[in-house]
This record gives sequence, structure tokens and C-alpha cells, in this order.
Amino acid sequence: MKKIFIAATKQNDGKTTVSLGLIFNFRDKFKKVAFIKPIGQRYLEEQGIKVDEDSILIEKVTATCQVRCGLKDMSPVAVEKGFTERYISSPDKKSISKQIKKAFNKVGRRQDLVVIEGTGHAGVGSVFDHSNAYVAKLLGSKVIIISSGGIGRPIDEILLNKALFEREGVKVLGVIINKVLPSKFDKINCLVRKGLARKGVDVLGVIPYNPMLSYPTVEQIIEETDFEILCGKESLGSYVSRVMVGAMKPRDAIKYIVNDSLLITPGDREDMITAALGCFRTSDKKELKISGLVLTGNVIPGEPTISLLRNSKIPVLLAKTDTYTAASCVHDLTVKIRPQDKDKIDTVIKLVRDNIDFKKILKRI
Amino acid sequence: MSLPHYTDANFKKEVLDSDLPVLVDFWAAWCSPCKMIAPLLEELAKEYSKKIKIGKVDVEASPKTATAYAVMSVPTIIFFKDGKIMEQVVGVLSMSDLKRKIEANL
Repeated sequence: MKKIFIAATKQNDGKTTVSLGLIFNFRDKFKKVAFIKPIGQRYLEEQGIKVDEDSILIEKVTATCQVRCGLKDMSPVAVEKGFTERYISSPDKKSISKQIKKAFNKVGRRQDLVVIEGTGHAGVGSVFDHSNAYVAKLLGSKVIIISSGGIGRPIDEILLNKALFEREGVKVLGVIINKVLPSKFDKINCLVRKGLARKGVDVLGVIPYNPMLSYPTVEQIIEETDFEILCGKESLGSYVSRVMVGAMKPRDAIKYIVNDSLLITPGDREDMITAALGCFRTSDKKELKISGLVLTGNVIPGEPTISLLRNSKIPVLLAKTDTYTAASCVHDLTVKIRPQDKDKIDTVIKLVRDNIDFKKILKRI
Repeated sequence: MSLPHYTDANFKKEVLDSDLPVLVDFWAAWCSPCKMIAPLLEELAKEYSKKIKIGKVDVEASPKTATAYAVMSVPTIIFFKDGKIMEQVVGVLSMSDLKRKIEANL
């Protein structure tokens, strides 16, 4: 059985994106591919157990390929609230190691390849004696490190993370640079390869940034905030490409509304609300530019405006907080790909297929 | 009383060359806020018939005029006097706001 540990220099560098892309693109090389995320920090309740949300994504999305593992085994350790405090008070390294190894053995049984996804940077988990570097060693896997964008910062961070893996005796196969701005792609692709080659690190791929992957849907915004739905439930799946605060005069504000904007404005700014409801896409005048509205200050506009909002069919949310706080909540969202985001998943598979050197990976694992 | 329709073809004659000031309501048939403002404008057209012309431009039927005045949202109301833009307002206005703006642009 082949194994590969997908690590990163920090959270949200794109480990799940790469794992998903690898699983799909390795389908023709390996008959049976399994996935495990030994330690998870963002978990959901699924089938009555706490499971890391990345594992749920992989399990659901790969149902059509050969990935067949129980959810609990795909996500054996969930770092829930109070986990580290309990561990520090009463450490039990062996028990966690046993849990991870047991799940790994179940997941990997009769498989050709196991993709192991880390959590955060190489040192995450050290507090309970299971850093990513240690887990990779425990499972006897080689590592690919993912880092995002830039030139200097990813090289610095890759070398720091690599040192931690090497201290545990874990071999780093190479790195993947993710989320590189298309306008800087050629420059970064050339310089990062050169810079890392000087340090003896091989670049296995450079993936361009696709903003669509980080667009939340209105539904995701509701899940991550305490906004209440006023109307427009039927369009919660609309993507939000830009968040715009409607604080100016409508005439000036509309210049900043682009297609799929989420407009955040006080509930008593009926002038702004009605102006946004008349902002049309140039390609299709019948379709509105905004994909949703957040009315702040817990203020519901008068009946004529509410009636307009209902007719518009766009989702309208009510925030109890002021506009700044509501906008900050939306801005700080971490957008994860969900099983139902088919277009995002297809984009990921293509991005990985087009930008990663699979032959090199296959030779080294 | 329904308001007169200005189009790409007659906009110059009816609006830019008009002796009276003109209030033009840029609207679209699909636009719900436009439907809120329409009856108010019809009432005002009667009340101010001697002082100002009030008419409307369908942005879908007259795209050249809508583009020329950078109409990105409907309703957009533009006040013209002697062929020049005096004021441009976006969104729905109340009756009192409309009256105040008309008085200011006579």
C-alpha cells in the first residue's frame, strides 16, 4: 500500500483541495484509494459522531470512485472544545496514537493508496504530542507540503515546516504552491522553483488562484453567522463574489455593486435597498446584480419595501448587530468546499490535473 | 394619466430641446421599485403640468439613451433643464422628496 501525507504551512492553504484533486486524478493509477484525516479541528455531527468536515466532504464527493471507508475511521480524533485542556491535565499519548493507528489500519486495509490529510502547519497538535510531523512518522508516510501564494513567505514557511518533519525523520517529497494570482503566476512559478531548488526542495506543482473557490453561498453565510432569514429561502444557494457595505448615497453606492454582490446596509436605508433592487446585470437586464442583502441593526423596513424584497426572490437576512460587525463576520468566514458545490469540485479536479506533476509524485511515493 | 414615453428616437426633441424642464424616469417592466414610483409621478405630472414635463424611458427599449446617461439601476430619475443634467437620483423616492426635488429643479 502506498501512502501520502498532505501537510501545509498553515490553515486554509488548500490541503483538502489538493487531497480531493489527487484522489480523483489518481483513479486511473490506483484501483482502491482511501482517505484519512487523523486529526480534525472543524467537525460536524454526522451519523451521531463528531467527524471532521473535510472527511465528510471527501466521503460524500468520492462516493462514485473507489474510496470506501467508514466516516469515523476517516476522522478518528476530533479536537473539540476542552480537548487540549483535558490532555494537558491528564496526558495520554499512547491512547491517541493507538486510536489513529487503529483507524488508519482499518481505512488502509486492502487499499492501493491512502491519502492522509494533516491539520494546520507541521507543528499543530504538538500540544497533545501529535504534531503533523509526528503523525506522519507514526503512519510511516512521506509528505507533500502545500503553501499558498507569494515568493519569500512560502519559501520561509516551507523550510520551517520541512525542518520539523525532518526532525521526526519524515521524508518530504516536495511542495505544491497553491492560490497563486494569475497575474503573477509566471513570475512566482519561476522564482519559487528556483528559490526552493537552491534549498534542495522540489516543486511538484504551482496552482493558480481561482476566486470562485472562495465564494461562499448565502446559505454558508447563514450557517456561520446568527443572521436570520427574512425572505428568499429559494435562492440560498447563490454565490457571493463580493461584499459591499451600502453606506453612501444610492447613486454613488451602485457604482460599487458588481454581479453576485452581497449588500450589507442598515434596515432603515430603504433608499439603498430599493436602489439595489433596481441594479441589473448588463448581460441580462431581468436579473439583479446582488445575490443577497443583509439588513443590519435588527431593523425591518416598512411593508412596501418588504413586499418588494419578497417579490425580488433574493435572500434577505436580518442582522441584530451594527453594519460594521455584520460585515466583519462575513469577511472573516472560512469558505470550505461542500459536497453539494459541484462546480467548485469540478474546478478543483481540473486545477489539480492541469498543474501538478503526477508522474513525479507516483515515482516518489 | 399615463406618462409619455421617451425613446432613443425622440429623446433629443422631447427632452434635450424642451423649453420646459424635464423629469425623466428610467425604468424597466420587470422592476418592482419602478412600479412603486410610477403612480406618484403620474400624479405629479398633473400637478406640475405647466412647470415641468414628466416622462419615462424604458431602459430595455431605449438602450442607447440609458447607456448615454450611465443608468446602472432602475428607477433612476434625471432632471434636465436646457438640455443639461440638473440632478440624478437612484432608487425609490417618497412623494414629499419628489416634490422637493421638482421644486428645486424648476
